[in-house]
Amino acid sequence: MNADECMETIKLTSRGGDSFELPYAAARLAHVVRDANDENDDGDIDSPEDVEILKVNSPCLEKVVEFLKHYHEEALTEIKTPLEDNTFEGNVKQEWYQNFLKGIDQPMLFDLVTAANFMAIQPLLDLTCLKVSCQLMGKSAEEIRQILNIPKLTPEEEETARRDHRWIFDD
Amino acid sequence: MTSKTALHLLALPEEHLPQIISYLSLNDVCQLRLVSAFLRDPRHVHHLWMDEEGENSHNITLGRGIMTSRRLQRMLSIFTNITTLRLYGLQLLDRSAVTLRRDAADRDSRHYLEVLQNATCAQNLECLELLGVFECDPFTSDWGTGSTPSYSIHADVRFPKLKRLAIDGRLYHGELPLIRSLLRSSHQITHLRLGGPIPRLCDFDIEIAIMQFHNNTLEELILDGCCGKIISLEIKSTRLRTLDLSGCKSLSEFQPGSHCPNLEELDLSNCSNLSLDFLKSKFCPRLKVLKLRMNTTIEEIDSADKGGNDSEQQPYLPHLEHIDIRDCPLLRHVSIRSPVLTTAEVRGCNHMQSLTVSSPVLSTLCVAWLYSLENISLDCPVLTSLDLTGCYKLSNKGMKFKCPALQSSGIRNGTNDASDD
Repeated sequence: MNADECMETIKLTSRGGDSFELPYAAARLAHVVRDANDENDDGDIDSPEDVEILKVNSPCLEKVVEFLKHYHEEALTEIKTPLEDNTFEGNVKQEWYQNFLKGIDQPMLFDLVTAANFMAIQPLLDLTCLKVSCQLMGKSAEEIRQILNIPKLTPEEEETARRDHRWIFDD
Repeated sequence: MTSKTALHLLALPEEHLPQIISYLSLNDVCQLRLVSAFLRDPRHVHHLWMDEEGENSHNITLGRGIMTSRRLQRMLSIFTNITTLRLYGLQLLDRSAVTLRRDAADRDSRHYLEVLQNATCAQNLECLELLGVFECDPFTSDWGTGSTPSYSIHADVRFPKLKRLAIDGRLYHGELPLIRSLLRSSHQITHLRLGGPIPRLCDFDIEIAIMQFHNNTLEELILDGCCGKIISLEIKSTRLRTLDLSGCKSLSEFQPGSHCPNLEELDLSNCSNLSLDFLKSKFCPRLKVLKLRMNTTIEEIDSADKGGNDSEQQPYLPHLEHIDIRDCPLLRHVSIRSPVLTTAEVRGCNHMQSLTVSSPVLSTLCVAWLYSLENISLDCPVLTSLDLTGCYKLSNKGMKFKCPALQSSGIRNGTNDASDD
């Protein structure tokens, strides 16, 4: 059977043992799901089976499943550089995807980046990495340092950094 | 911001950093590199881009958006792992121009492509885009001296992995021979865009430099605004999907014929000298987008195969979704039939006398201000909006509509009598 037209549902099980059900046709965006089901290059599959995602916790996997279900209905438009804007909303015009990451805290955002990478979901990785990038855009080194809570460079380190970047300041 | 938050960001697996950094402009990358030794690691940077034209450009470090070849050289000596370089809207200024005028022997190594090809990244570079850039050339009249452009070939310009090349803006004689050399030495380019007045490409370049070497790989070829010496063009490519020759005003001979069977988008807008006789023959059966705006020779377009009587006519562009024939001053008769046509732009054709459109999916059509239009025939079952404003010669007798969804309230100005056949 062709996986794209597969109407059967499967369950993804988190590290905490919680299961989330979704159509296989939506779940297969995650390459880890395809690989677990031995989907071949032509997208043929016998009968889809549940998959354990032991590296992802329950709240994060719930978000991932929410993403997979929606992506199956409305794909994320490709994010191209140079970016049009230095805000997340300015570059992601689709309302659902704007809201998907609205209000989530920093740890959850980084969990999503890691989950997207582990489950090989490229569109989710693109979206979450963009969100992280937008927090750094247009900021000076000092502002970034405050955001990341990184100690100030020693005078020697700063001198090295500026020497590296002499091409910026000097011709 | 708590330390826990910071810990999370720096605790992200290192492999994520290149993608996060890929969304940051060159200025942001520079700031990030001043934050910590870890973030300064050049291995994190695979993509570099800089956009001085963007509305939200916030160039902190490079001031007036000037990229000298020396700066480029220094930059590339730091970011040795990049595979993508995109510079948009920059002024490419050779700071050593004054020196060069004193000592012409120093001319080598000042051109951007030469700088690039000497950089470590040249072996890995997959995408190079210089768009909307302006090169200050010391040998043009701007600098008060004249010089004959050099057309010599640099045999050693080489980017073995380059797949996407886009150059557009005002680059002068320094870069042109390098571009030619580059085209001759890279054999994997899939997307090529050369635009603006810079390349001054001629037929020879297209035939020898582009088609000979890239015929088997090119999927997209954009030569917009190459108004120089491209007169005759013969393109044969089974991979080509997009061909944009808009603004090639010298182009007078072009025959896509059956040599581009997979072409999906063709833009010949503003090719004012181009004869469009090929439109009368069956060509490019997979074409989805056809743009012929501002052509001054075309008088008739008929996309129907005249094999049988009127009712049996079949479209020979069965996949045509979008057609743009605006501002064609001699165009008199247009007949478009396609089962998937969703957009037809026909404004500004002041001599158009008859228009026939047949499409089961077209819902909106604007034929406003076609002063000469006398006959309009529409077979569009889902058409709900029709703008006939300013079609002064159009009378009820000249209208044949098979548009059951079209209500009189959906027709603007002209006449309100929409008669169903």
